[in-house]
Amino acid sequence: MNIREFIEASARAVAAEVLKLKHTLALWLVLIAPGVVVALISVQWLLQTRSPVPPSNLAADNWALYCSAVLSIWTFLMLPLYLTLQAALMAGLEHQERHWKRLLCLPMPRSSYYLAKLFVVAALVVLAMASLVLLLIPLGGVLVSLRADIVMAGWPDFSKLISQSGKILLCTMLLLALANFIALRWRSFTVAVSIGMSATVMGFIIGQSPRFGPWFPWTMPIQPLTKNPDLTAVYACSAIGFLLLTVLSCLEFERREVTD
Amino acid sequence: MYALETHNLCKRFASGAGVDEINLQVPEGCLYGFVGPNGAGKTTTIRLLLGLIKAERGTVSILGKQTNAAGRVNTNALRQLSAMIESPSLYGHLSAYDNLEVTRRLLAAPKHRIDSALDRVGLHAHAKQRVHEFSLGMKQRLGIALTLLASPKVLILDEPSNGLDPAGIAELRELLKSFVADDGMTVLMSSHLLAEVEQLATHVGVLVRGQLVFQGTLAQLQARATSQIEIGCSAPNEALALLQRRSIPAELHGTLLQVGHNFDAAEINQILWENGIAVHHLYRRAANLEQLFFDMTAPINAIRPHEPSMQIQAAQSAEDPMRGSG
Repeated sequence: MNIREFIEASARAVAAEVLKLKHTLALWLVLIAPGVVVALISVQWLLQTRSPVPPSNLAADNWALYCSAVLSIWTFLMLPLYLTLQAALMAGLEHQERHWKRLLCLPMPRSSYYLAKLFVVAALVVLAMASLVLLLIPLGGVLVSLRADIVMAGWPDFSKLISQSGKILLCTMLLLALANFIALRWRSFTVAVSIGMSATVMGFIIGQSPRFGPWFPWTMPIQPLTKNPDLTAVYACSAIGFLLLTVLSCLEFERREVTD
Repeated sequence: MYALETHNLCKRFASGAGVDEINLQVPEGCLYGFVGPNGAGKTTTIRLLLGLIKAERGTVSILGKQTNAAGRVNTNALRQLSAMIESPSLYGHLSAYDNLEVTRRLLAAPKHRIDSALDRVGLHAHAKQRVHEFSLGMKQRLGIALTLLASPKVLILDEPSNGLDPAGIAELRELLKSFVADDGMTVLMSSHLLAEVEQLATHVGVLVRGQLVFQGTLAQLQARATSQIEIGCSAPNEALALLQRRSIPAELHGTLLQVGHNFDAAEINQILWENGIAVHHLYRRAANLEQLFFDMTAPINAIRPHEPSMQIQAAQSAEDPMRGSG
């Protein structure tokens, strides 16, 4: 099979994966997970007895503060869990009814299935980030209308938000490859979710370390929101790690025996 | 030409289970019943044919082309082949149509094949129904519809009748017969029930403990099953001794004597009558394929060496070219 045929097969596998998303929790999570984070921060601001924003702040600064609070919780806590869950749900579609024994005897390169899963999970992460950004506006608006001491006129700084989101996504690549590998390697949903949850909890400690935090895959996504001045090495580590792990995972997937 | 052929195919698992030196020969256009008790290695053989597991040794040929490299069947070779292994793998949250659409997208097959596959298995009316609402029989039919999307020349079905009610089994039987008769497909169907295979297969392979102990046409298999003469008489013990003195092997089962099929019932009756033994029951019991299957598949230490069917099998095995390497 040449490269063109492989790309075509992978595109067909992606089209099949997209259809499989119909009526799934995975698709709803694109709205639910970011919605929970934005709502949580909004409620927290709403219920605080003291104003969450300094009175001297400009309206634009208040938007920035609000966006930063949402992005921090999303990136540090929800994103690793969301990624774990989405990868496990997507892999579970095949593991549950033992679809591999049917899929892998179709005339398709095995790696195309692996890459299609990876692509769809990545797309779900991008969509969730987009939902997060879009949800900031209506929920921010509700917050302002319910609490007079918070002034957030105009719009959030979208260019900054998009730039930050892009950097976060770049730093999430290694975690994406890891979560996808774990979910597809082990049939058990519990294994994938347990590893993801444990690593996220470990991230609470490791993430506070300037020495280890930037290199732990579960705390790498938060790095663009820290005061770390130079993230080039973190970006490179995430991207190269993603590529290496994906190639190795594809090789493992190609060789895997389907015995169950 | 053989639609499927293996040469000395071997696979052993750490548990010791697996298959040994399998020389499968499935002629084109036949309905091949792949029979064996549970755990005999049928599914392992099928997985080897489909490249789901890697063979330790041996080759696999599909429609005359050797397809396995480095132990595993390559995916391109699977273009003319479709399979359903054990229970059908379906997405319960999707409709029947969408389940077929997922596979259609993977195969880049034309859209109209979905409708014709649904028509073929009689599920057109349920196309928009979600699969988790389907009965087992409907799921099985949808599983078969999935295999039709590729317009295969060879169809492999692993235990397709598992869990089906008698009506479902009858429907399945007719469907499989039509695949061979109307579409010219070659169908390999595995089962642990010889009676089921007997009703539709043209060729049979019997797998026992990872070895192919018989392979040939159904007629060849039936020829191996022995009919027996059953005799009820006034003095069974005396009759037994009398027949044994005349070199007629007989066995006493309760009060009935059993004699092998290659003896003349009238002659036996005459011998007994001339010796003053009254015969009140003389009956030729038809060939029993099921008993032959039990004999073939029974654990080695449970087979009595003097059992007639096993003697015949041993005698014929050397000269039968279709016999497997078991």
